[in-house]
Amino acid sequence: MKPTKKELKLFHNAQSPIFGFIILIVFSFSLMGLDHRKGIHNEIKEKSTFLITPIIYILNLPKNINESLKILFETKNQLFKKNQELENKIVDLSIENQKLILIQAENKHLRKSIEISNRLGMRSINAEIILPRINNGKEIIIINKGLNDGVKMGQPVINNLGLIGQVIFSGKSFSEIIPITSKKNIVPAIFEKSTDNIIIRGNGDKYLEVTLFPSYREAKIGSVIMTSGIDSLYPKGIKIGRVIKITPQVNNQFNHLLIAPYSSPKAFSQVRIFLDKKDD
Amino acid sequence: MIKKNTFKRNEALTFCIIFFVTLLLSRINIPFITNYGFMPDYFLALFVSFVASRFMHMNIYILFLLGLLVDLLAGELIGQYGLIFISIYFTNFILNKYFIIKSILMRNSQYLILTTLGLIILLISSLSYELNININLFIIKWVLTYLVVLLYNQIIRNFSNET
Repeated sequence: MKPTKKELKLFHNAQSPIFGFIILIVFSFSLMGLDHRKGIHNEIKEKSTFLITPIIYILNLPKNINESLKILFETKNQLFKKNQELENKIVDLSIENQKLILIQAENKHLRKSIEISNRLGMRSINAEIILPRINNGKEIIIINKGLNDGVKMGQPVINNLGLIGQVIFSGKSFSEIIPITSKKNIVPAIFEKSTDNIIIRGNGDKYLEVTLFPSYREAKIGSVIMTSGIDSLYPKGIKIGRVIKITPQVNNQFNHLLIAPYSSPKAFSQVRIFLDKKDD
Repeated sequence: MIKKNTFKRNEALTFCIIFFVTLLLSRINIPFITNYGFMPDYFLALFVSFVASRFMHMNIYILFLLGLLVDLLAGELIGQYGLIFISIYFTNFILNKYFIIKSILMRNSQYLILTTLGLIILLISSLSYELNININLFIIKWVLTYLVVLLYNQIIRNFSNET
């Protein structure tokens, strides 16, 4: 008896998935292309934050319980001491603030006289960093402010030390930030004491790098790098980091610059997000 | 008939538990590892184990939908994990069609092939500004993911009471 087509299959008895495979390959490529061009991933993710919110809650639960217990068992003496410290800090800050008010007034006057727009005049809000700090092998920072607080995709994030990153996703009550040290982040920058524009990129570890910096241009160890503002995304003049290592490339036409960022994501818990420009 | 349904429900529950644990693991960093590029791809490891052990006898369409779910929860492009999972499924089908996989060595080689394929597709389809591929980083990730595949495989075997 002649074997049928199905019986001719070797060691696997299941039906061949070749038709489904081809259809799904085409479909997945179309989806990836569409997502890359239109960014549908974030739109869908925005509408399905209810799937991720419980995970974030569970991951933050031990930390929250620990903090609650700490507050519960804090003695009166400890609270009194803390209060004293905070009051001292307020006095220091108010003195500092008086100086700043004077400087701000001078700055405004000078800007007006030389007709430079105030690029740092932006509305901003404070947010707290929560867990997790990683998503499927990619470094992210999650903050407790989202769409409800006016946080949107693309907004720059800083703290008192310098630039931290950029908002890449905003849910209703939380947002995801890509740190400047991530491989998937690039920032247009400028040296503090020269006019050389550069593009810096995270190296996926603790540092930033400029891979192809022309060797005829001057770069010194310790040079401070700040945002150039040419992308209209990051305000001009935010400190990013300083050069810690200069390595000549093989053909000596370019140098590799290693930059240590001023603010490490592991060294702070509060950040400030620039919302939009103030109406002057 | 009733017995068969109960067994399927147990399998589905097992799958949900392992999937949820994987979701948590993918968001927890390993202590002392500062470079997150080293982190194993837990979802890839999970689905290589599921597909290779034929757990729940998932078909290619269900696998693709699960891939889209993973993309939504932990991916960066819609369709990326969908593509990876269907490629793993199809490769596994081809391997099973032309080879009788009986010994542990053969089975481990099968896992290695599927993991490598998945990681290569992930590397090619990922969005990055990198000019060069860091081979050392890729190899470490590959080894760690493979170890997680073996671990998942052991867990799945324990759940499905295989010897």
